[in-house]
Amino acid sequence: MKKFIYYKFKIVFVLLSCFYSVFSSATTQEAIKLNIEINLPDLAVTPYHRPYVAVWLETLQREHVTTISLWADDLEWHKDLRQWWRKAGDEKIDGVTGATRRPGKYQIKWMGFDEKQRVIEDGEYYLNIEVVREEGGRNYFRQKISLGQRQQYELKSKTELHTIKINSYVKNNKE
Amino acid sequence: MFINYRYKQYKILAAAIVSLLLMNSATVHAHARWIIASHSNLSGKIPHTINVDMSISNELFQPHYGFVMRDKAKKNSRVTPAQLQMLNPDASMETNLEFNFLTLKSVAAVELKQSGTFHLSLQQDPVYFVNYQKPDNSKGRAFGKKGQAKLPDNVSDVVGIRYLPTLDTFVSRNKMTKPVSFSIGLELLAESHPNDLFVGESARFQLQLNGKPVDKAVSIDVVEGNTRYRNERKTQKITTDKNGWFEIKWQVAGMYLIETEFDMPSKEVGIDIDKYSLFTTLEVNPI
Repeated sequence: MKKFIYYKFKIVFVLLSCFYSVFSSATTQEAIKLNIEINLPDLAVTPYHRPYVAVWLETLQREHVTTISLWADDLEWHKDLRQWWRKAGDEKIDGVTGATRRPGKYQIKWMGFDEKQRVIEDGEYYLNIEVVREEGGRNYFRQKISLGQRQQYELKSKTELHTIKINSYVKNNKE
Repeated sequence: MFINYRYKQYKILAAAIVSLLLMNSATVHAHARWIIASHSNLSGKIPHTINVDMSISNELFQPHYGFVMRDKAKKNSRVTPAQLQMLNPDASMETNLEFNFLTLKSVAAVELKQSGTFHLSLQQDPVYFVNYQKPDNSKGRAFGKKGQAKLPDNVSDVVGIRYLPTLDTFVSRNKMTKPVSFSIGLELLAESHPNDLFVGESARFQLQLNGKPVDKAVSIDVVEGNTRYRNERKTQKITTDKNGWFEIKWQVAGMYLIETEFDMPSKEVGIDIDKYSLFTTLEVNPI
């Protein structure tokens, strides 16, 4: 009898966990508004310093909306991302800040919220990407995007970043 | 013979008028001078130290002649006494900041603790001089106050001038806040921010005297640094509107010197004109 109760619990638990994982993965899929593929080139330079990278949104009037991603965990070097710094220097960015990355391909997924978890409305924005490397160069990319529409953008590679692929998704689209 | 003489007279008169007009339209008379900070924008948790270079030099920005701290300047020596001041973001003021005279330039190490925009200013002691006209109609200048300055005989149009230069610049740490004004002498008020200047963009400024907008059109000179590495000085001449507003379109990135002068009847006894001048250094970033 005790064994049966145990099994019953186990079944319920497994069912629940399955249900939860399906449900949560579905919501994650639905919520992605932007996927930004960034490819850091493997540069043959010595010394090589990993670049600082900032990704952020601005309105078409070039007012800052939110930082999507920042790869520069030391505040000391934030000001070197000049275009980002002038717009977002005093913004709270703890949630989107991470360490610098090695050369390679990275997917940055954005769920459509700002740092205070407020929903950013669908519409036209500028997506900005800036990269700067110590003892290296600085590149700045700006692309007009339509949030809430299924679209694909490709930005030509420059010295510090290979081709950037941007995918925007329709709200609640199960892609 | 008579006609020829009259013609010569006219020629002299015309030359005099032209030179007089030139004198009036050329705003900047004195040597360029500047204060330049090692950084315009900083970020970080630990307080920053910046270096500040100061020099009297027409070559931008290579030094020619430094300043000496007012307290350390010996009387009647040929040094240029000045006082370095800084307005912190919270409007508190640090006066008489230490700096070193290194002959060609003077250098300060200034610690920035607060977050926001700092306004640095080098206040030079007033320079007294006298402008006059010689009997042959040429212009002359002598240093010193009227009555003390040594003038040649038979001079006319003697004008006593008090020269009041301000050298300033701005540095922002962790965020850009509205810079605090000294409200003494000439100053620039930026419509956006003096540490947020980028190539291809325009910036608007208002020229202020003693904390208030100037009340007439004033000519402004804008010169990009690196003058040693180009053959033309490329001074941009801009005239303010009646309220002192003017706009600069930044053509290249670099450090710029903004120069202007403003004459006022002096309130000091024995002095005719107060000649305020301003030398503001601004950094323009590439896009």
